[in-house]
Amino acid sequence: MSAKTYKARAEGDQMTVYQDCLTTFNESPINPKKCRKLLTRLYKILITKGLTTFNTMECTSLFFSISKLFQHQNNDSLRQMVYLVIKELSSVSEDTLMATASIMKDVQHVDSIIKPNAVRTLTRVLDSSTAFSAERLLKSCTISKDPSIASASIVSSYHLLPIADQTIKRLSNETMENIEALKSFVNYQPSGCEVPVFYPQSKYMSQYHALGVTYQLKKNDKIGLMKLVHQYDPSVLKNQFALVEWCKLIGHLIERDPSLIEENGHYSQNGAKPSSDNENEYIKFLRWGCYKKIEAVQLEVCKIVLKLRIVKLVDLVFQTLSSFLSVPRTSTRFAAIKILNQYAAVYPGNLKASINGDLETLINDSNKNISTYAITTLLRSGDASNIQSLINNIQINDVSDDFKIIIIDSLKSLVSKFPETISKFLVDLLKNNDGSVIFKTKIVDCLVDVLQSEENLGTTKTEILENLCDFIEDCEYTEVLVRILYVLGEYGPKLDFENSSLYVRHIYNRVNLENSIVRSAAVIALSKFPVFTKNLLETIKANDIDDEVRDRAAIVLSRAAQTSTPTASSLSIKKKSHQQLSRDIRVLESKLNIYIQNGDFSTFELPAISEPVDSGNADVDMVSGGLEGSAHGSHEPSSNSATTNDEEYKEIIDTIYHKYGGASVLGKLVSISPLQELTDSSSEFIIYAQKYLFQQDSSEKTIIFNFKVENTLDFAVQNLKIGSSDDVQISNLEPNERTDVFLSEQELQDEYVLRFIADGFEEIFEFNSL
Amino acid sequence: MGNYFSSMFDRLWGINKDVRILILGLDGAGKTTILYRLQVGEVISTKPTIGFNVETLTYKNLKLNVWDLGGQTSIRPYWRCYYSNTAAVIFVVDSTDKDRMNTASKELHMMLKEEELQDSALLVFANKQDLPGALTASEVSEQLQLTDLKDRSWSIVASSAKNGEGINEGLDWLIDVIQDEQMN
Repeated sequence: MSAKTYKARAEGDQMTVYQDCLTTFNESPINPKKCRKLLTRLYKILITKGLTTFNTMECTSLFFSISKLFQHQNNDSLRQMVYLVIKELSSVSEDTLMATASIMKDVQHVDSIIKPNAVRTLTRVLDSSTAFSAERLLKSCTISKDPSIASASIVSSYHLLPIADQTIKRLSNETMENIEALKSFVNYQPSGCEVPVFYPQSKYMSQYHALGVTYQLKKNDKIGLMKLVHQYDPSVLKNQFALVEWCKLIGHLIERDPSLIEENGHYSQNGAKPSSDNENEYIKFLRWGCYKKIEAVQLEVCKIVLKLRIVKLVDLVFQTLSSFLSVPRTSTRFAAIKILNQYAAVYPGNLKASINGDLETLINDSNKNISTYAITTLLRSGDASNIQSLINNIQINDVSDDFKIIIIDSLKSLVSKFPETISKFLVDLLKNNDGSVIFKTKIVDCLVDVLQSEENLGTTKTEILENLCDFIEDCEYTEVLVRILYVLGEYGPKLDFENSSLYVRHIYNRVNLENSIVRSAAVIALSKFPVFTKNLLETIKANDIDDEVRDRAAIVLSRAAQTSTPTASSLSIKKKSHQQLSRDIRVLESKLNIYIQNGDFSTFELPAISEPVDSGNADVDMVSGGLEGSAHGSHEPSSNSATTNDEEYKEIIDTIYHKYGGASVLGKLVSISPLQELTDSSSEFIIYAQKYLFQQDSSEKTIIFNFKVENTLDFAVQNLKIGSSDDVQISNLEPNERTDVFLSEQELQDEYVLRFIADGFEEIFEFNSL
Repeated sequence: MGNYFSSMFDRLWGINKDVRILILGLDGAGKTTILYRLQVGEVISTKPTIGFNVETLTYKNLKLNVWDLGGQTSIRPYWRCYYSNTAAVIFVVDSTDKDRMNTASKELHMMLKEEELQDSALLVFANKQDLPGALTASEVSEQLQLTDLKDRSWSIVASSAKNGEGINEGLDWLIDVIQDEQMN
């Protein structure tokens, strides 16, 4: 252990606890009471000081010594502590797998208070190769009558999802049973006495957990989710967390397919109850949630409605939120104002009509966070009449840095509307207020926005510049200083050329007083005032102690000497577009790889690199190393790159030739674009596209698209069509199958539409360009 | 009062101290089956042990802490974490698995080299004698080169965890050795 780690621990007694643990747990026989006390102390250290207190090696030895406590059976309170600590250690310690068998034995045999702990710990020690062995145990726990065991098991399966989703999928029926079975603590006690419920919200908690896991399992299956919403409506769901989750589910469905809430949407017959009136059932669900007297549910519905802009419910939602603004519970007020703040800019009309009055009273709320949000919300919908008074109301001193930043963010959106008022306020804030780097940077960003704006703002811009000059005299953050120096260099000569000497003086002061990073930035800024600063730069070039600063001075001077008309932009390199640049680099990289692999270091032709870029076909110019070789020569895979890849390509190329009449029609393969993912990985179908460019002679080019379509649903889909043609390209796609479709550019006819039809459910992907 | 005296005697003989015994061996040798044959006296169905099983049992007035560590290749490196304070090691060999005798021998000798196990007794069970083609105890002993062991009390017993043959016999020997050592 290094001296540094010792130093960091000097204040605590972690090392004593660590040593005590090792010796006490290795005793034989152990003293359970002593062990439990020690474990409690260790647990406290782990929880309060974080896992980083001990390094991996220490954690591992702690784990092994704790594992020795498994020999002490029939002591539930000790075992519970053991589980708690192992659960914490498992993320850092190696080899926690060693506890698997012992934990499994507890899960299997014991029916007592430690079982939930055992189940929860079990998931932490399993990995993908051993998870399947816990399947039977998890299944029996999931169907347990005891809600805490069932919940533990369901939550554990949720955590296992990323490493063993197949195993958890097999538990889905048992999990879903938990949604309907109302498992309650009260009836469980064999003696019949009631367990006091400390948290009324936690009644039927397993319902919430089960719904969460079921959602995770079905999240790629839209129809399955719709069924879930109908199957478990509020008549089934009794737990309020489950209800919130249910609302989220509805929101998620609507977000993915807005047509669900259209009147008489063609999905409404899908397993739904016949609706008595004409209102869409999903709207009805949300309306119900808004009236339900559970604040968490109401807030969730508000969030969904505002986010998805469900026009029909907006008025109702604003009513609800407005009523929340005056409840005594701080948390509810905070939640409501936070939602309002987030969507203030989207619904300024509603805000003004129904809420602004409430908000004005909240400005003086005793909770500073709430009052900050109230002000920023008002700012977002503010107009010329009240903006000055609002800004005067901002009490920035009492709030935490995070909220200061929120205020600045909301001002940023207003800066274009009221540049004078706000920039004055910001300048004051910048100069007279303490704050973090982020806070100061945000302010500078806002001010730069003002400087950048095209409008003629009179003296505002020059005032900002002068104030920035003032500010850098006393600024503690290098990052901010560098940024401001750049701004002065950039805008000083443009906006306020007559005052150049003022800027030069302030910038040059930095050269004398600050660290080398700031000095380098100052040199560049000075070079923007070439008429005044040539001599200064010469002095810096000769005298500065830092290489970088001298180098920069030398460069700007030599630049100035070269260009006859020294302009402010003399330094800026002519930029290629970013995309082009990145492509160049990729081509260069592949060329360099070939160069290194060939081992022939005598020649390297640089011009060859820019050739594909300049060939005019900017879309398809990514040349992969091995393939280009095969395209120029015969179709033998070239020896200098991974042959498996080449063979795969060769197969694809053969297929293309086969479909489109061979090399005589298409010509030679010139290049292949990188595989591009068109969908995100959570959609029903994952689609990749890749372009193959063939060239007959110098003029005729053909682009062939290769679509790789993968079905992630758990049922097969039929009749997949791509493009506007009516031909079915894929007749059947099994779950998890991946298939290739080839289409030429002509066949697509500039319509990049993929159409899937499965059991009357249609999905359309449209892409603007490929 | 009687209790007091008996605990006095126990202390005199050093009997009330827990005795730690490890059961080691390659995977599938029958370690877990032996452990539960000792504890509950019957054969239970087992699956490969990921980690370890530990049981406390009383045998001839002696309280035994018996640790059965998994034998899979991935788990063998962790055996050494459980070596300290070990009074005896029971090494279980599948007598029908002739191909892996060599591996078993290597693992055994490597383990016995450890500092912490210098004073512990060794009992080898030539297990699975109920199966046809099982090597005899002396054949196993030869394969494992047990005769090379110096300065250590060791014994090999032909056993079958399935029908109980040899298990108690082996343990009796082990307990005798342990008690002898504690009296000295």
